[in-house]
Parts: sequence; C-alpha cells; structure tokens
Amino acid sequence: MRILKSSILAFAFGMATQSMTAVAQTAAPQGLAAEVAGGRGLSVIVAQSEIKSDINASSISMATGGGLLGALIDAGVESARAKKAEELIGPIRKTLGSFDVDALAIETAKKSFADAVWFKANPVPKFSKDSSPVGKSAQLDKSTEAQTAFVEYIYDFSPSFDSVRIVMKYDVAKKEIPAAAKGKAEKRLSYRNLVDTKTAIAVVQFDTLGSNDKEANAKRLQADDGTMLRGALAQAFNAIDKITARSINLTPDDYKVMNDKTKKKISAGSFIGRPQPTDDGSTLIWDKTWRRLILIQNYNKWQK
Amino acid sequence: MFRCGALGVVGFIAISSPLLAAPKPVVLPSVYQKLVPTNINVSKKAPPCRIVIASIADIRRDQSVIGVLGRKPVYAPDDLDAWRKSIVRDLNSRGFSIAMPGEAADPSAAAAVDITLDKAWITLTMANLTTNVVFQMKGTTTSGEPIASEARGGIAKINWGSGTNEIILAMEMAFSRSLDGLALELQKHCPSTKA
Repeated sequence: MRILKSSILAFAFGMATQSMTAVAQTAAPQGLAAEVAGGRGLSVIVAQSEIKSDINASSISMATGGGLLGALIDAGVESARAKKAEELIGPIRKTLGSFDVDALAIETAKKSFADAVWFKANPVPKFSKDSSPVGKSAQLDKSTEAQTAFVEYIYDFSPSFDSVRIVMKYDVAKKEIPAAAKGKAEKRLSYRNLVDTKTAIAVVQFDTLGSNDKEANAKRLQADDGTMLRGALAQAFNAIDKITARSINLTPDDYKVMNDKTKKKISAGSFIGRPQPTDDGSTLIWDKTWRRLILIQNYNKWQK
Repeated sequence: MFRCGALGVVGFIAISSPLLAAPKPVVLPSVYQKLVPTNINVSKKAPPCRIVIASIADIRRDQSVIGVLGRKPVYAPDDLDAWRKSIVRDLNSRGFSIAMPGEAADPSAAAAVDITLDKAWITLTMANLTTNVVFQMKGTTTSGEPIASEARGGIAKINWGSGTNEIILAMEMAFSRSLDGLALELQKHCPSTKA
C-alpha cells in the first residue's frame, strides 16, 4: 500500500514538472492595464541547470487494464528510459560546454516583455532557479513592485533526440495577499489570484537527423562540437520570443480568429490544434484545449 | 516527438489544486554526509597523496537553489562555503590528503588545484529523480604539468515520493560520482594511490 501511495505521489510530482506545457487558462485576461500603481517586476526562472530529455511514457498499465503490477512495471520501464536518456545526454551536455542558456532566457524574456502592448514592467529582470510556489512567494515578499511577471522556461530534447523544445509559461502575480487567502501567501500564485497566465511552446526539429534512433541522433548532436545544437537552441529562443510577445498581446478578437472552425485541426510535432498563418513557412498551431500557441520550425530552414 | 495531452491533466491538477498546500522545502544538510562510498580502487597500503586545493569556487547562477521537484523546492544549506568545503574534503576518502584553502600547504604536495562547482541540480524526468553535479578542476603538478579536468556525476532513479532522505541520498550519489572523477584525474599524478 505504501508503495502504491508512493508511486501515485511520484507520478503526480513527475507529471507536475512535465506538465508545464499544459497549464490551462480558462479565460483571456480582462481589464489589464498597461501600468499599475506600484509598478511591475519581471522575474526569469529556469529551474534546470542543463538541457534535459523527455522520455516516452510506458503504457503497459493502461494496456493491461491498470492495477498495481502494471503501475510498477511502468515505473520500471520509465526508470530504465530515464537512465538511458541521462546516459545519452551526458556527452551532449559536455559538448554544450559553457553555452549560457540562462543568459539566453533572460535576454529573451526582456525582449518579449519589452514588446508587450499592455504590460509595462521594470526592464531589469531578476533571475532565479526556484519555480516553486514557496520560492515565488518569497520573491513577491521581497519585491518592491505591486505585481511580478514570473517567466519560466523549460528546455529539453524529444525522447528520440531529433528536436529541441522550449516551453515558456508566465504568471503575473500580485504582491498583495488577497483577503480570501487568509494569510496563506502562496495562494497569490494560485490560478484564481493571478492577473494573467499564458503558455507558449517552440519546437525546432533537426530534420537532418531524420531518424528515430536516439543513440544515433545523440551521437550526431555531438559530432559537430555542438554547433547545430547551440544554433537550434538560439533559434528556439528566438521563436519563443516571437510567440510569447504574440501571446501577451492576444485580444478577445484574436481568440475568435484563432478558433475559427473553418480551419481544420492538424497534428504537428505531436501537438494538435488549428493552424495559424506565419510569414516564414513554419508551422504555428493554436491548441484551444490548453490555450497555448505552439510554433514548430525546421532547423535547416532557419539555416538557409 | 514530445508527449502532451492527457498526461498534462494530472500535472495540472497537481499544480493548481487549491487543496494541495505548498510542499515544505528540502534543505540539504549543512555538511556533506558521505552517504555514498567511492567507486574507485584506492590502495590501503600507500600513504595518502598530498594535494593542495588552492581555491573552491562556485559559478552556479543561483547558488541557493538545487532544483524543484514538482512544487517542492530543494535548497542548498545557508553556509555554502562550509558545505562546498565539506564535499571537496571527501577526496580524503579516495587516497588523498587534502589541504584546503586557508590551511597550511604541504610543500611536498603532488599538485595544487583550483576546484569550481559548475553544476549541482536535481529534477524529475517523469517519475524519476535525476541529479547532476559537475566539478571543474585546473592546476599544476609540482613538476609544472598542467591539470585540467571536468568531472561529472549523476544518477537517475525512481522517485518514491520526493522524501527528504531520498533527495539527500540522490544528491550525495551525484557528488560522490563527481568526486570519483576528480580523484581519477588526480590519481594520474599520484600513482601510489592506485590499488
């Protein structure tokens, strides 16, 4: 029973981290003002210190109708996959060397929010690796501004190492603790108390790799001394900047256009949504379910 | 390609449910606990090889945070200097006699090195704990031979519940493997330490 409870907890915590891509927003922010009394701060959060790898979930439990045994087998399979992913990613991390993704994230957030129509913030962001509610709440306590935009970035490889993904999620929270929170400061970060929250995803595919063989792909990513990977990360941050700025500025009319049912849903990079126009031929889809824009680009296309 | 969709539902519930209070942070012990023994072979007969640690630097951008597991933050101890020293000092269990910065340096030491803590972080890969530690080491031997090395240690294991002891052990495993990497490099300059 204890193992079962632990497995469920572990699963929930695991999903909590992975699901940053999926934090939903049920309504567009209303009544947002460009400036607020007391001002707004910008805080960039990159919890990870190096690139990560996504892994495929095991579905043995689902296929066998559930149960403890299936869950334990799933845990074992996923653990083996995580170990393999760590084994493959170690040399790639070494190849990346001192490439400063944190600095790239800070510059990207500054740029994205500088272009925002409605959000006027302190242009000098803070930086933290603490994406927890406790950490963000502590930042709000120390902040001199009335509101803070927490801009979180996650970057990782697909399970087959054939693309990189950046997930950006921002939450705008108030310093003031709402009366209904009864002094529980972390409640400032709960969805209902946020001023605004949005998620955007950028995926850059290495079509030159053209294979699902993760071992071969991982080797190829090291072969050019990490040049392609550094280029892809820079491209992905550039892409996430564009769709972050676009996400920040979305109006109710924009949502109507994006939700136009005459545009048939498509599947791209394992995401499903309605295609949106782009000026460079890359794929942009609007996932209404999770209210997020997803931009999928090809690394080679960017190189030309 | 990447996972998405239904898996996110569970995560969304975990993140946003008002019923879930913010988990209590985990703070690593103020000194390295030496929970994980070395994996390298050390001669028990040979005298320890003397090494001078000229400096211990930490270039992590946010030194107080080790990582976040779901909603649970993992912090480094308050006295970072003492914590880092206690970790590096565990090279003593790998066949060395370490003189730490500020301590009297032995003129007969085989090498003097600067050690930098580059990475020390923990994360979740689905339901697995993943830890990584990277030390950089630069210096010279007494004969003037340069030493330059990067030592990486890490593990990936099933996360049984993000418990404090589980997290501490996972971090110590990464530190221990990384110290092994440093020791293997130093052994090249202290042949007597090899078993």
